[in-house]
Parts: sequence; structure tokens; C-alpha cells
Amino acid sequence: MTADVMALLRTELRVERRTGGTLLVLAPYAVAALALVAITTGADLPLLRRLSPGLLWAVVVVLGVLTTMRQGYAEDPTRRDLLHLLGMRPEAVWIARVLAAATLVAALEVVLTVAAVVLLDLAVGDPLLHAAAVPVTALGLAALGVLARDLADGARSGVALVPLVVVPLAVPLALAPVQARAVAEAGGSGWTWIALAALVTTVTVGVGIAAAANLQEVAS
Amino acid sequence: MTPTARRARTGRDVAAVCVLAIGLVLAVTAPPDRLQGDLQRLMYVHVPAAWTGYLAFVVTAVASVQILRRRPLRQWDTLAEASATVGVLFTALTLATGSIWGRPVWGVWWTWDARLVTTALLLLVYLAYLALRRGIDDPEVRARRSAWLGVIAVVQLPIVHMSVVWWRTLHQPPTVLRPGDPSIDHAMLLALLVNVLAFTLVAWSLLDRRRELGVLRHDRERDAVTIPAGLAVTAPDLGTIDV
Amino acid sequence: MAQLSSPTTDAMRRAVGPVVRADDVSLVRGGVWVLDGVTVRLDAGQVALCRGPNGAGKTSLLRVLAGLVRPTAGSVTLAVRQVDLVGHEPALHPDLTLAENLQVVAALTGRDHRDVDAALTHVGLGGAGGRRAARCSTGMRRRAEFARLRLTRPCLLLLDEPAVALDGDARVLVQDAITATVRRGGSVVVATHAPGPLADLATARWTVRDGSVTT
Repeated sequence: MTADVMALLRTELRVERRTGGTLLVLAPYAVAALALVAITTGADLPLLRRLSPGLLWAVVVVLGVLTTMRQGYAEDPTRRDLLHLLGMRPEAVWIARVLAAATLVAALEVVLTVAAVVLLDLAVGDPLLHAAAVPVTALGLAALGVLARDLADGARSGVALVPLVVVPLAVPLALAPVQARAVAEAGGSGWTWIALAALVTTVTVGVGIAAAANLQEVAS
Repeated sequence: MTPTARRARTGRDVAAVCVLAIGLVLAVTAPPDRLQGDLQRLMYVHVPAAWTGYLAFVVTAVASVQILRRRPLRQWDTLAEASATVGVLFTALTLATGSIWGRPVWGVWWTWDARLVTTALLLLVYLAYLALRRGIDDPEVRARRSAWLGVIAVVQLPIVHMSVVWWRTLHQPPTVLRPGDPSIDHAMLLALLVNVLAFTLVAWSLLDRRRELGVLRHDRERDAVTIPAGLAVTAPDLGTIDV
Repeated sequence: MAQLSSPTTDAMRRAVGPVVRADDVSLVRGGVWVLDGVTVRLDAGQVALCRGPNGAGKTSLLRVLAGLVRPTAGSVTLAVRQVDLVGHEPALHPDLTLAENLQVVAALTGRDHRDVDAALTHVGLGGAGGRRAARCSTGMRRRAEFARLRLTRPCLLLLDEPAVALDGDARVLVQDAITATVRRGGSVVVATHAPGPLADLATARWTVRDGSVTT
């Protein structure tokens, strides 16, 4: 199963490199969102500095969910049928899709971190904490997004439903890195918050894997 | 509906109205709060509404689990939907009454307090649940997918409840369901509990009627499945062709 | 009639039992009764020609036999592991080249890039492997589907309107795919309302009408 997952993941990343659609468009859009907030709040740098961690992770969640709505290899029903016929289990397909989306979200987080440091004078704080937050939140957001996408697939207003389902449930993922940083700054251990985010991510991935095969049964 | 069932339902509806009336009387006659005065009586609506909303979402989750266990949709899917609808109604009522109460007490219509935020997020996700259901025509697909969402969404409930304990917040900490003796005057507690019962009975009545609609819809969808797809397609009628 | 039976396939047929069997299968989708109490069986080496008007349920029948759709009632028993279905839409990602699309298949079936090149050459796309699927004509994309069959080597091959978009030269690919499958002991179901020369290859005829199948 691992070999299959890696094969599909490589394909998804190849598609992404070929089209460049998702990251090349979404990253500038995310930076523009940060810039918009700065402009509309009066560009008061001390204020922005204080708000920057929250702003960063809020934009990560709100825009990160869009990376999971990409047109990847396995997002098409005909190609998914082919994967099924080739013996790939639905859980393996799900994992590959999530890993591909998570890679994009993580890349987006890195770009946004740099943008926030430059535009909002963000102080990253403990780099280890931030580095740990990136993969944990990226995976959690990707899992939520792909799961929501499968639930809303083909439904009317499905496109709008995915962010509506993901964003409220992703609040802990946005909150954890911000709180971790605040706690660490105050002298405590921010790792509890990272652990919370990891818990949310683990549960989401578990539910997603369980749902993958189950939802396939009612697909037409 | 059989006469017995109809009688039972009427009985329950009457009981709901009676208990609601008693609850109203108790709410009005209970001693006023030491700090907030009469304003605090909104608690007798706000808290029961919150509890009833939670209960409804738990019912939706239980019904969702049954759907995933492949139990009959006519029974469980209709219950899940009706319960979610009632839950959304009462949670919206909770937020509205909370806002009305909060304005004079805190000075603002809304505040970014953990309990309020988590409740608002709860409402959003269940609105998404109802929107998802509305957007899928196939009954089997609709039931299955919304069941997964119903199971996922309920995870927020313990977070909403414990939010006032985990984060230092403006909102009242739990007064009844907390470790130790409830920290509330016993007359007020009685009024509160009676209103909780009243709201539960009212919610049950609403749920029952909403579910009846759901069952009718289910039966209509099931009975509509008699015509094979192929019969809808016949040879084109080209009439006479002039050469 | 082309000689598709041989001592090997006859022996196989006796030994193995049906390649795929549907027992009283019904399928309801979107509130519509698509298949109604369908019972069919297909033995090793058989080629079933499945005819019927639009909307009769041919595509759904193929998808149910392939295991892509779970029937509402009844059961489908599949005795082979490798199944392939060439459907209406080619399973190609538009932004990957034909070769890259086939490499995904190769990776999942344990073949290598040489097999991909050979497969493309076999279907007459030897020089087009480096072209993005979106830049290929419909006919080329269909040919690529047949190239895939040389990688998957299915024991149950399901073809849904296979000759669509294929030019005269390429139609032979359909016969080639059917023959190759039968030679390796597999079976084929071809759903079409215009069989043409494929009728000669058929060893069984199924007629689908209003969700029911008569054999």
C-alpha cells in the first residue's frame, strides 16, 4: 500500500508542478489578503506586529482550504475508478490526496510566514515550535479539506460548502500555533498547544481513512 | 397514525404546554439574582435552549452512527435530519437570548468569549449539515454523507461545554454540570430544571412533526422509484421527412 | 466466426467456473431504478455482446460487474483480480502527457517505462507519448486507453462503446484487445448499440432493456 500511495503522491505533485495552478495563484492571493488587512487597519506597525501571528494563521486556514479543492489526478471520478480497478484501496487514495494537499498547504504556510515577517513585522518566536506547527496544521487542514470535499462532492453549492465545513472545525488548528507562541513568550511550554493540534489532526486523519471506503460504497 | 399513537402524541403536546406554563411561573417567581436582578431571568430560556440544542445534536450523532451501521434509513435518517433541524433552532435561540442578555450585562451584543465563539461555530457546522442534505438528491448518498458529518460535528459539543473551564472567559462557568455541589440557589435551580424539562418536551414535539415530514418525503422518494430509467427514453419522433 | 475457443480456454472454463457472476442484481441511483433483478454469468474465454437502447442500463451493468458500483440488492461475484473498463471518458489527466498518464498505471501494475513505450507504439501512438493529453485529439486519447490495456492485462475486460472516436485503422485495436484478453483466458463484455464486426467475436449476446437483461 505504501508504494501505491507514494506513486499516486508523486503523480499529484507532478500535476501540481505542471500546472502550477494552485500554489502559484494561491500564494500571491494569500499575501494580498495579508496586505489588505494591513491597509484597512491603518498600517499601524506596532498593532500589526501584535496581531501578526493570528493574522498569519487565520489566512492559512481560510486560504489553505482552497488548496484542497484543486483539480488533482485523483480528484476526477473517472481516474478514481481507474485507481480502484488497478487495485488501489480507497484509503490509500485518500491518504495520497491528503499528503499532496498537505504539501501545498505547508508550502503556503512557509510563503505566508515570510510575507508576515516582511509585511507585518512578525516575530516568529521559537523557530522549533513554528517548524513543528507547519506540518501538523498542514496535515490537519488537508485532511479536513479532502474529507469535506468528499462529503460535498456533487452536492449543490458543494463548492461553498467545503470552506463552511472546514473553517469552523479548523479553528483549533489556527489557534494552536498562535497560543503556543504566546505561551512560549510568557515563559511556559507551547508544546501542549502543538500537541492539541496534533490530536485534532490525528483524529481527522483517522475519521477520513474510516470514511474513505465507506463513502465509496454509495458512489455511482 | 394509529389512534393510540395520536393520543400519545396529543398527551405529550399537552404535557409540554403545561410544563412550559409551570416553568414560566417558576421563572417569574424565582428570587432575582443578587447581582443582575430580574435581567438574569433570561437564564430560564437561554440555558434550557442551550441544553436542548446539545441534546438534539447528540441525537443526530446517535442516529448518524446507526445510519453508518446500515440500519433502516426510514427510521434513522429522518431522525438525524429532524433532530439537527431542532438543534439548529434551539442553538440559534441560545445565541439570540445570550446576545440580548449580554448587551445590558456586558455592554456589548457580542464578545469574543470562548463559549460564545464555540457555540457560534457549532451552529455554523450544523447549518452546513442541513445545507449538505439539501444539496444531495440521492437518498442513500445523502444519508451516508450527512451521517459522517453528523458524527464529526458532535465532537464540538464537549469543547463548547468545557470552553468556559479551559479558557478564562467572560461567560459564566458551568453551574450545574460541574464537579461538586451546584453553585446556584435551590429555588432558581428548580425553575431552571423545570424549564429544561419543558424545552425538552417542546423540542420533542417539534422533532416528531419534523420527522413526520421526513418520513413522508422518504416514502415518496421510495415509491417514485418504480419507473425503470430506460422507459424515459424512446425513439425520437421525427414525423414525416420531406425529401 | 473467429476461432476464439481453444483446448486451453475450454479447459480453463471448465476448471475455473464463471469469471464474473451477477445474481439478481438491482441498482437504484438518484431515485431511478437502473437495473432490475439482473442475473448473468460470464465464463472464461467468453465474449458477451451487450446491446440495448440509450438509458437501458448497459453502462451501469458494466460498472456493477467491474465492482465500481455496489448494487442496491443482489450480489456480484468476481473470480479474477485484474479488471479493466474502457468507458465513455478516457481516464487521463489533461495536463500530463500520454506517457506520464500510462506511467501511473505502470507504477501500480508493476510494469516499467519500456512497457509504456511498447504499449504506445502498439496502438500507433509511439511518437505522441510526450504530448499532453489535453493537446491530443479524442481519437488519440481513446487509443491511449487501449494502450493501457496492454499494461493492465485484464482477465475481465469491459468495453463501453469502444469504437467511438476511433478511425478505421484504430478499430482493429478493439478486436485486438478482445482477442488478447480471450487468449490469456479472460472474458470480455462489450456494450454497444452498433456492434459491426464485433458481432463476429461474440460468443454470447445480452440484451438490456429497461434495467433487465436477457441472455
